[in-house]
Amino acid sequence: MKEKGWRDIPWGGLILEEGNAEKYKTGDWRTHRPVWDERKCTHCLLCWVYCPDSSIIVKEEKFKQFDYDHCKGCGICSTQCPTKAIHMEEETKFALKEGGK
Amino acid sequence: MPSLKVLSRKKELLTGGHRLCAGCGASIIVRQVLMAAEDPVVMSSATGCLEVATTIYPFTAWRIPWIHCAFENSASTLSGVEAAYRSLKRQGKIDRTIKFIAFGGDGGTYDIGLQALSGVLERGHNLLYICYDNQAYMNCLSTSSLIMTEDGVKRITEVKEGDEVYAFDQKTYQLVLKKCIGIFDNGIKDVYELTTLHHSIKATANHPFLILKRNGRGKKNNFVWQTISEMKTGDEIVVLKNLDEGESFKFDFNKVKKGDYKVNRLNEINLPEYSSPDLMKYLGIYVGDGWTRNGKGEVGFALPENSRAREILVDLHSKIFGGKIRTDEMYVSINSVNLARFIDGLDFGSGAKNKTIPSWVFTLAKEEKESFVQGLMLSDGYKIDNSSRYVSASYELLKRLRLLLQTMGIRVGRIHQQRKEKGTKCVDRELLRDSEYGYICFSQRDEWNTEKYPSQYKYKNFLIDNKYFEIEKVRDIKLVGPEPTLDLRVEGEHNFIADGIVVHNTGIQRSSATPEGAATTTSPVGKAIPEGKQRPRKDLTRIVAAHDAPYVAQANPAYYNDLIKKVQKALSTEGPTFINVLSPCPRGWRYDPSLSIQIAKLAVLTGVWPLYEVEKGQYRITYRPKKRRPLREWLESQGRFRHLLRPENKGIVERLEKQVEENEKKLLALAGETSLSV
Amino acid sequence: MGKILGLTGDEATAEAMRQINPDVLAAYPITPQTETVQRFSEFVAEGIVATEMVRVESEHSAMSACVGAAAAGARAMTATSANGLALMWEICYIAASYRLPIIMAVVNRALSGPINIHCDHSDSMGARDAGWIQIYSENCQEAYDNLIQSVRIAEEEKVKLPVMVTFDGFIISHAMERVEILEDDEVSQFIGKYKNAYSLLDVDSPVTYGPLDLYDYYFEHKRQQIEAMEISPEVIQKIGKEFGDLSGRYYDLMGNCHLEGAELVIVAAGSTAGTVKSVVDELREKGEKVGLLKIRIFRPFPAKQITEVLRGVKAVAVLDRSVSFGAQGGPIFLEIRSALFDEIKPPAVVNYIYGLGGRDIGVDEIKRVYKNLERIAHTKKVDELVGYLGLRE
Repeated sequence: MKEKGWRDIPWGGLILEEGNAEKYKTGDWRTHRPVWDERKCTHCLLCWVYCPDSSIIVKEEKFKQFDYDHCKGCGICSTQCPTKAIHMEEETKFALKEGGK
Repeated sequence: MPSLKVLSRKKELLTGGHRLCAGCGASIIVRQVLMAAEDPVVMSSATGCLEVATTIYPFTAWRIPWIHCAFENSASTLSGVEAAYRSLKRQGKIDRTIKFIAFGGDGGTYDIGLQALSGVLERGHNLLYICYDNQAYMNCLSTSSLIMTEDGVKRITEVKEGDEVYAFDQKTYQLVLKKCIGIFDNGIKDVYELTTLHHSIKATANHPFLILKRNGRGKKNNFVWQTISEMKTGDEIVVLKNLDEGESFKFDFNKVKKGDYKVNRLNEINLPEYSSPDLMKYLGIYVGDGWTRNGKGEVGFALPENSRAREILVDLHSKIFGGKIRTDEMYVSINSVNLARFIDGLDFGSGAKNKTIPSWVFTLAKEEKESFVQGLMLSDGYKIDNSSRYVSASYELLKRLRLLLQTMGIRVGRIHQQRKEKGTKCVDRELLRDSEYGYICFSQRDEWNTEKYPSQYKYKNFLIDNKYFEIEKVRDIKLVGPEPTLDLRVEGEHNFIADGIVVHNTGIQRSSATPEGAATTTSPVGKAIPEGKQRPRKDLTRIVAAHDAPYVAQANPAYYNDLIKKVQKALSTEGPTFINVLSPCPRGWRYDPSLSIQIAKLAVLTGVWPLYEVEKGQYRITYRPKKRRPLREWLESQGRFRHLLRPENKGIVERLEKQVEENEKKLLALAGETSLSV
Repeated sequence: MGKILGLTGDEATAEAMRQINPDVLAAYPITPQTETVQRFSEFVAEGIVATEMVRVESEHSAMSACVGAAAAGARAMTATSANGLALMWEICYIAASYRLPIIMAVVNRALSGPINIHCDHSDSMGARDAGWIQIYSENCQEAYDNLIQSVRIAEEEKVKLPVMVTFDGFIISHAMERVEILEDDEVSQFIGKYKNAYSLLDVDSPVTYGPLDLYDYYFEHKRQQIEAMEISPEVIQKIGKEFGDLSGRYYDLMGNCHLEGAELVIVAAGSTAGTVKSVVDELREKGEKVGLLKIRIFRPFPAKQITEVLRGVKAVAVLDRSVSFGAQGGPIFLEIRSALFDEIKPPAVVNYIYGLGGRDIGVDEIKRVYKNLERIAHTKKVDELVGYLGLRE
């Protein structure tokens, strides 16, 4: 993204677009990623309430998926899951699958 | 309070893509707080982790109106927003219900932000202030520091109130003795290691040292106190060069006699009443090569045949103690219960890695100290040109030896550390296994001809003609990491000598560890001494409650139910409300990020962070653990406390436990309860 | 037209504030501003203003609250002096950088130390780099007029900068003068409504104020502020004219100067300009070609306009009621000298520091300055670049 000149940005240092940090993908910070075991999940949503990065996507009051674009792999969800439905796996396993970075 | 399922239907108001550390407690707290709010929220944030990481231009992670102004004014900025809201509402220009939440870290709230918070509380604005708390700060020395006292060198942890310690008289620049008037724990702090050519010490960044300030040609130089953070390499600090002449040490030993309990046979032996150069040389050899087996009543030396040390030792032994000696190819040994117990009681330690120099050696006359050093050299030392080198596996021994040599006016370099493999030769023996050891080099000082060029020498070393002290240039200041620290207060001169360096009194401050009721007089200011910039760690929750704020609480993100309920209560209360939330920090507290919630839970279960609320002055404990867990679990969970787990710091841990218990008792009393656990 | 009242500077300010009727006023008392806030709180108590008054616990919080209020879409005002302004200093920069049209009355008082409660310009001069528009008032009438105009100047879309209106402490603030007040509705019509396109209270379109700028954006944000300052002179002139149409008192970038045919000119700001004016009148009657250039707008400094009016003048004495320690002279002197640098035949310019800590300056000293200027114009030589008026050697 080419940086804008002084004439093209809002004055006052204001950021007018709400929540545009979503465009910044912190997912590449990860060394491990959480993996969901659907069979064990009871949809208690504890992972969701404890996620520091808003990276647990909940739909219709149920766990849907991880937001791998932003998940930093901290592992809190895995540690806190009462049914051990989330385990952490090395990111390298997926890097190759996803076109090797 | 609505269930998680219901809450999950709300829009996420803090997006991913912010740059807080993985596992950071702050964003967990923010998310839970915003989940709890039912009306639209306008938020202000003080400068800090949360603010910086969530709004790096041009990105913002906030889906709510949000303002950051400065570090200390989150409360007052938001009070302006709230006043605008009230004004516009009154004028009929706005009709929505909007809630106002101010966030501040413990820095921006406890210290610099306290005034703004207090003003808001007093004025009664309708807003909620949330403090996310991760740590406080004060000045102190590492617990490994060695203090020069009248009884010799003592670890700072061994110094007691009433002990006489050596200090630097700031008017006469001479050595004086002053009474220690207090010791305080300060918990784990980040310490820096400051090294000069011959000295090193570990202290926090704000610990003051005595620096020579050169005022230029024709002007008098003077000493000023400066903290490590204000110092740079090249600064000249005051260090100890020499102590007063000591005297022989009187031993207090009761010999066992034949006929005493279990004493059937006894090798008669003379035990000296006072120390002497000969005895000290003997003991010097003992430190390097000797051991005692107290149970067997045996004293032994690993001195092979033909080693020069053996001859001298045998000779000395006959002179001092008399009695029979057994020798074989490798060893010299003496069977004497009395000798074994005598030497054992002299506190030289046992085992190669644990040998040390007890404090009484530091009080000896110079001749005796010199003999002791000679003895050391005979066993584990050797000369290289004009310099002597002493080797030992015990770091503590080297540290103390260095200080001892310095009190004799001998110049010593820094402690070098090395690793050698099994089989290599060390002095004249082969190593039996891999070993790590250290060594120091030392030599006699050159005498400077101060009469010939007085001003030049004086320029080089301002205290050159001082008997006890001299100036050394700071060579390096580097961050070492978190270590347990202590404060020491000395009356009168307000300084003392730690690790051979003149350091300022540490101001009396409480840490969360210091027991209630400890003396808290501020140190009076002397001629050129700035006051330490410290203040006690405050119980902020109670300070806010003392403002009669209608709702005040302490919360924890691990207990989200409790937190959300409290936020909802606060938001529906008219007037200024406050919640202090523990915010685990993987970086600062040193633990694996996946454990943030677990550790937050431990804080509650061990009593470190009780959960309570104060509603219109009424205290109520909102969570009771089934059984309080020992504080040790809290300490073991984080790297910042690791050093407290060493055996020698047991006393500090006990004091911390006591502090937690007392805080608990206080809270229970306020809440009108008797037990915290269910 | 409105009424004619006898008002002190503080009272005139309070009156202007009443008519402006800001949504929020956050202030902390400090002599000699106190009467302003006291008067205004009486209005609040009587219910004759809609203002939410925030009686903050320090000036730092006063400016912080104003920032919060202005960001929330409210008209915010405050008033202070000397060390109060100094305490706000950090937030003043922030207020300007967030482009918030906050209006502040600064009752000029000396900065400590030693502590002195009397008039000099060290406080507002100390804040000259903060990014605020600075307007100096000569008397109570001007204080009143400037305050009303400042609302329009600050809120102008292309400008959106905070404005400080200054007037001399005690000399003006506590001295009663004849002041013409406009009608309430004339003022409300003149200032109109405040519209903040990006308000914190607009919860449907959330905005973020005060992000972290790294080295990749800070410079650009500052350039925007510079641009706003550069555009503001024409806005100030436009509003000065509009105000004149309304009240009969026209304002321009400089104070109404007495420069027709002048060869020797004194430049001054604040109440001293009034003193110089009376000397100018007296000397002109005797046929001396003397004049006064009154500084009204100090930031943005109207270099171009001042250079134009000083063309043809032989010698100029700039009177500074503040010091910039270590600089070659006082703040106004430095600006004027720099402005004249490119002139082909610039006048000789000298500086007089005067009136620090409320040291009085009278007509005799002014006359001495003119005499000195005469000598300089005649001999074309400057003996002393910076002199002191009223200082005991």
